[in-house]
Amino acid sequence: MNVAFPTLILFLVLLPGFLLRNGLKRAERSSVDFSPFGQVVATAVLWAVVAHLAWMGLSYSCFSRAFEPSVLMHLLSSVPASQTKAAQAVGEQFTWIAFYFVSLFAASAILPIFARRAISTYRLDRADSRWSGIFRFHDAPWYYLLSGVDFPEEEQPDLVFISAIVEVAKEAVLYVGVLDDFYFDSDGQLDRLILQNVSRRPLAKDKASTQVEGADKERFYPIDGDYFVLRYSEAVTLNVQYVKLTAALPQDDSLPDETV
Amino acid sequence: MKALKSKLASELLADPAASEQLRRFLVNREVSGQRRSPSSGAFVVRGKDGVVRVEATIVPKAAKAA
Repeated sequence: MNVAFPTLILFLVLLPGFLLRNGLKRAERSSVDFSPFGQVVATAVLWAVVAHLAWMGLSYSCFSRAFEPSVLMHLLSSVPASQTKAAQAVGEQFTWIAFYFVSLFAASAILPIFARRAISTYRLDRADSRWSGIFRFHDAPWYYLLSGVDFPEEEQPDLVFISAIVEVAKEAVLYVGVLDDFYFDSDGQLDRLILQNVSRRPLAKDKASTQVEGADKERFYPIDGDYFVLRYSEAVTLNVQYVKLTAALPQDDSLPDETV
Repeated sequence: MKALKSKLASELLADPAASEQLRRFLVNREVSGQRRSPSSGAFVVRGKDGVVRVEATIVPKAAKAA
């Protein structure tokens, strides 16, 4: 069997960078990453350099093990004699080198999960955060729109209200409801919205400016059921509103039961 | 992906009466040209922690939202 040994070594050296990059990304598509190839490789190589520097520093400070660049250079060399000599050096310290790579791969896969969680928890990716240039997940626009994370913490809304126009039997129908969940397709496009508390009415029944608000009860039809699935591809337009709820102190049952 | 929904909002939606009031409030908001500013509605939520009075307000979009 003929193995391109230098290529294999290069793959192992760069793999932590790709693991870190993929783990840190919050992308809404799950199929192919359409980022430009150069950008993907440049980011991964940069992350690989950072990861190796951190791991080599750690191994030197904790275990007094120093990296020998000459061994790596000989491994990547195309001269068989040079490769053999370097392979012998690696073989003598195989356990240690294997531990280095296995622990680095594990850290590259696990650490981004905690890093991403910290970014979201401390809201470092908010649009007007001073760190957003570094930490904002630019491949997840729907996430920012529908999760409300761009609001300041004290103004954070409590729910998202959706209005969508859908063509049903060649008639435009307005659906309104509270957003519960949303899903993406493999290309990162919004696939479907799960709504609660849904009502609908034909768009033709738009209210005249002189009509009183109470008449809405007759124009909108509540839709029975706990959840309503709205396919984004069937929506002509989508309107998003944020609702803030403010709770007063608990009161007795004598409170008025009607909307003010 | 779970949408934005606070614990208070979940409690409100779990209470049929309050949920219906919220629905009517939001439906009334759909009247073009007649929106009150700021628009708000008050509801009584009967949850497991007792009775809570909740005021709902439509908030503007975040300054630099996506």
